[in-house]
Amino acid sequence: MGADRPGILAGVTRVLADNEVNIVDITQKVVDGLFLSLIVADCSGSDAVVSSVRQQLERTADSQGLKALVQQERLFRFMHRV
Amino acid sequence: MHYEFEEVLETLSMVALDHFDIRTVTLGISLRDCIDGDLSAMERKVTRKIRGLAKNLVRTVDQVSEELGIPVANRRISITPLAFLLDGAPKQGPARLAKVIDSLAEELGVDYVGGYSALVQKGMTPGERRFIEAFPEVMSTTERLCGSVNLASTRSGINMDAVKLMGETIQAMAQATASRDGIGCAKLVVFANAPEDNPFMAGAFHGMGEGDSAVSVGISGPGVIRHVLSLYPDLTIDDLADLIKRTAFKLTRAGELVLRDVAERLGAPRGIVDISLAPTPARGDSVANILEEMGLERCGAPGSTAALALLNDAVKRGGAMASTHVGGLSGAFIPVAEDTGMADAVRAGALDLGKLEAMTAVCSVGLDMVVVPGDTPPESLSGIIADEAAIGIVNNKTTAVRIIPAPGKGPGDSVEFGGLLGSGPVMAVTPFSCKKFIHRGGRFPAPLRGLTN
Repeated sequence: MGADRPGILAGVTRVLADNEVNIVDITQKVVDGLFLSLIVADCSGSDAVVSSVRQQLERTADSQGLKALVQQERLFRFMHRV
Repeated sequence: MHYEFEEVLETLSMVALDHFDIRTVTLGISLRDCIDGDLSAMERKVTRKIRGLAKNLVRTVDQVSEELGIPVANRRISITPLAFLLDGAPKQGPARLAKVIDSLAEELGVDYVGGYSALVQKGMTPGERRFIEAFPEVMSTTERLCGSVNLASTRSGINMDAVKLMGETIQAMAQATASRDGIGCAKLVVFANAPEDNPFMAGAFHGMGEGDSAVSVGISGPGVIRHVLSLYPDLTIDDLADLIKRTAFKLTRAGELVLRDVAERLGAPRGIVDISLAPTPARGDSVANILEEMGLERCGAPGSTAALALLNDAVKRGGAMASTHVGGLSGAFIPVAEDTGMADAVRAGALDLGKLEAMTAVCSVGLDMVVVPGDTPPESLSGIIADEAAIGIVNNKTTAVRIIPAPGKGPGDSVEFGGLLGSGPVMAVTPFSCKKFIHRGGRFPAPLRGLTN
C-alpha cells in the first residue's frame, strides 16, 4: 500500500517470480491516490523460505515508498471463517 | 478460498496500526518430579527439566510468528509453585533455587518465568512461611522471576494470617528495591481463586492439576477493540456488545492458531488460550480508552463499572467460541501503570482507588499495577488485599492485588518503570486505619456460595 505510481506491481511481482512463488489472485484498488493491492500467492513450489521472500518484498516496497505486509493465508481463514 | 479485500485489510491493520499482538506464549512445566531433600541435587534436576523442555521455545515461537506474520511480544515459562518443592528446604533454599531459575531464563532467552508461588488459601506450613518471607530477597536479586500467593478461595475462605503477612511482605519488597521505586512489587501478585493455567505475569504458575507440560497463549488487543468501536460511534448497547464479541472472536482465533502451531512443533500438549485484553503503555492500546470510546468522558466516570462489565462479558463470549480451551484469566485487565488511559484518568482526577476497586468486581482480575504512597502502612496494604479477596470469594471470580508502595513518593507523584510496565501515578490511600481488623488473624469463613455440593 502507498502512493499510486506506475511500476508498483511490476516490482512486487518480479520478486515473487524470482523466488518461484505462484500468484493465485490479485485484487487492486486506488482510493484517493492511495494504492492498495492484495496478492494471494502460493509458496509451496518455491525453495525460498517465507522470511526471505518477506524481506525482499519489504525492501522492494520500501524503495518505492510503499509498505508491504505479508501474512499467512491460514491466519485469515482462522480469523474470518467460522 | 476467496477473501474480501476488507477482511484482509482488517487483519493487516490490526497488526500494523492497532498494536495487535500475541502477548505471550507460555510453556508450563511441571517440576514435581524434581523434588529432592538435597538442595544441590534439586537445583540440578530443575535445571535439566526446564532446559530439556524449553530449549527450543524461543526459536519455535519466533519461527511461528515469522511465518504467520503476527507478532508475539513475550516468550515465557510457568512452573509448579516453588513453595511445593521447597517446603522442607533449608532457609537459604528459596533464594538459591530462585537464582538458578533466573539465570536459566536468561540462558534460554525467555522474558519471564512465573511460579515463585505458594498456595496458602486455607493454611500455611512453616516452609511456606519461610518461602513467603524470602520474597524481598528473591525479587530484589532476580530479574525474570515472578511470584504469586493465592491466599483465598470461594471454597476455603480467606487466610487472614497470610493477608497480614503479605501486607508486611509487600512493604519489605518495596524497601528492598527502593532505588528503583519499589519495582520488586511489580513481580508479585496476591490472588483469590487463582487460575492454575494463567499464562500472564506476574501470576503465572503451572498448577498442581496440570500435566508434565502445556503450551498456553495469552492474546492482547485493546487497541483493536477501541479502533473498531470508533468506526461505529452510534451503536446501541446491544450492537456494541455484539461488535466487541465478533472482534474478540477474531483476536482469539489468531491466538488459537499460534497455540496449535507452537504446541505441535514443540511436541507439547495444548493448554489454553487466555482471551484477556491486556493493555500496553502504547497510546491507544488501552482498556480505559475502550470505555471512553463507549461514551464515558473519562474512565472512572459514573457508568465505568457497567461499561467494563459489558466489555468483559462480550470478550468472553467471542473468545469462548474461538478456542476449544479457554482458560487463565480471560477478560479485560485494568492495570493502572501499564495502561496509559488508566494512568491519565487517575492524573485527571477521574479515577480513584475506590472506583477502581468497584471496577475489579467485574473485570477479569483485580487491582493491578497500582502505585500507592511509600508510607502506606502494611496493615492498609493488607486491608486492600482483604477487600479484593472478599470480592473474589463472594462473587466466585479471580481477584488479585499487584500494588507498589513507592518509597518516598506521595499522591501527585509519578513513577516510571519503563517497558511494558509503563509509568504510574501515585494513588491516594485513605489515612484511616484497619490495623485492629488485620491483627486479629485467623481464617475468614468460606462464603455460603462455596457450599455448592
